[in-house]
Amino acid sequence: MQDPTEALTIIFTEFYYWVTVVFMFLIHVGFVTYEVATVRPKNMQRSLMKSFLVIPLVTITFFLFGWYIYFAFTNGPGITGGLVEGAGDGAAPWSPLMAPNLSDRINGVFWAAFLLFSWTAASIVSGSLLERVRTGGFLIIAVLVGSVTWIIDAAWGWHPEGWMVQLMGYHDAYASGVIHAIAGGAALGVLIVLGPRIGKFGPRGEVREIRPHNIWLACLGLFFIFTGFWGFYVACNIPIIDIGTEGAPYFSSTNIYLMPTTLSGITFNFLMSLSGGIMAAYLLSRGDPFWTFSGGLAGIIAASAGNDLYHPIQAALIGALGVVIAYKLHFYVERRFKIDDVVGAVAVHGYAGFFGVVVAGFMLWGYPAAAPVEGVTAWFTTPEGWPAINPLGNLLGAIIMFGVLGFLPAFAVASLLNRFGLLRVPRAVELAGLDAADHHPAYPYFQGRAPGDGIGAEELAVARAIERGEGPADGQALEDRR
Amino acid sequence: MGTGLDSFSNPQDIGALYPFVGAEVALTVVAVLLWIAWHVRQLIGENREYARAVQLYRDVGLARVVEQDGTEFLVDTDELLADARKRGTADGHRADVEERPTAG
Repeated sequence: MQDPTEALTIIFTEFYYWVTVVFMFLIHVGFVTYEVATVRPKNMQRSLMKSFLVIPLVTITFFLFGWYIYFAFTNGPGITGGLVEGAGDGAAPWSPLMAPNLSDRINGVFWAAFLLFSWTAASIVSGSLLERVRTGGFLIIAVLVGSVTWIIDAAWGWHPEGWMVQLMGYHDAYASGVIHAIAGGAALGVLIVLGPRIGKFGPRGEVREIRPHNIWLACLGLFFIFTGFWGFYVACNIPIIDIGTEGAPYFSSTNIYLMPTTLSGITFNFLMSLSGGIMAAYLLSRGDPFWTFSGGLAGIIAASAGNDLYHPIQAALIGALGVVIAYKLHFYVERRFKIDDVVGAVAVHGYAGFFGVVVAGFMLWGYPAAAPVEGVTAWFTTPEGWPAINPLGNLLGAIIMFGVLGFLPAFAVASLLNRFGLLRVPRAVELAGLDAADHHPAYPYFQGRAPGDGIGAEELAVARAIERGEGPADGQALEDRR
Repeated sequence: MGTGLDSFSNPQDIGALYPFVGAEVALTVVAVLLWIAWHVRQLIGENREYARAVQLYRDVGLARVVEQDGTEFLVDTDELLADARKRGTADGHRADVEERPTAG
């Protein structure tokens, strides 16, 4: 880099994505925190490990094949072409650009930004399955969602040259469908095979509420997710790029499709959709903390598809409406189909995300989706011949995200795992608690002493000796300083 | 003797910074094998753990473990079995418990 302006732009971009990655780490901190808080104490440690191990497994596999998929599969299964030639030059695991390299400064941070999206997709599924899924089985599903299916849908619908964008005019700027609907669909697919927790439904089919064991910590976890979500939004943008016409350069930030937006604008919409979601959820749940906080998340997710372009009040209203739909659907599906979704992830991510994609198709009808690529004619075009955002493209896109790439592969893999006994823990282990089999108690001194460690017994013996007058109760226990 | 670069004098001519350039495919193969082996090892370990747990619960009485709400664990096996025998609930079958170090 010998031109100072070019160097500044590149190094700014490199640092920009790096910061987003650090912020997005908080999403995973949040997921782990609120999952551990949601389960009963007998399942805490195994739930913690299950969620934490998403980090290394999705990272390794995203390095090995996830990143390549994003660049190679944009044409879909032969829809606008075949595998993209040269996709491996910068994204195959053996590419010299997938390592420290002075001729490239963006690949690693851009890879990491997408990787953090991958962790999120896998972690969304995790929350639904708590308290009865096997860690080994879940981790296979996590790799499927985090390093295969979500990144296929990103190649199709979250890439300026993706076939869904070019042909259907699909628009989903902050991943209502690309991450949330697909993960929600996958969670539903696994839940159907996995079944509910023992005791969740009574003998007459009545729904029993299993409360989070620490509601404050659960809400704190959701706060962390909100914080990480800022990084997520920023990472979905390209920070600085020339979008002007020939001879008239115009530098701007853009969305993932290289269409203009502003960091300032999406800040309005992030906060307004969060607020709309919280307000709706508070009223709906009559102030239930877990659902009020989750409603904030669902509000953002419902508006995310179009939050690059909405007016902030539109974002708030869409966020609120998305929460009403997600909340009602969650309890309807739970009652009607006996689906035990522990954290409501199918609703918060799946239904709200699906709704968000569909609404964006109507709200942004006619807007340019992306610059056209040669040889592809979109179903609907702008007057300039660019693929146009439209309700049909986004409706079909939502179905592809939630159903085709979300629900179906997860259902198939979960069925396979179930056939080999790798999906659900044995009944006795579930009853006793996942931790009972292989961990010490989560709160060993919760009642003052831990059984069997000898310390409690000695303390009791000393206390009795004091009662018998064999030692002073006041002063310091000098004789025990050994 | 060197594993990669021996000068940073002309950075414009430098690409890869890591040692052993040319070994990328071999490194990828190693990573794939380790990744798959990790899943296999984890599943085997988990199967063993659950088999031990189910056997133990059979021996000491599942209801007793459930009553403890997850506060009894396998490292207490001997104590649990002795107590169960005292109460006459153990069937005399010794759980095949792998020796594990206790924490702390």
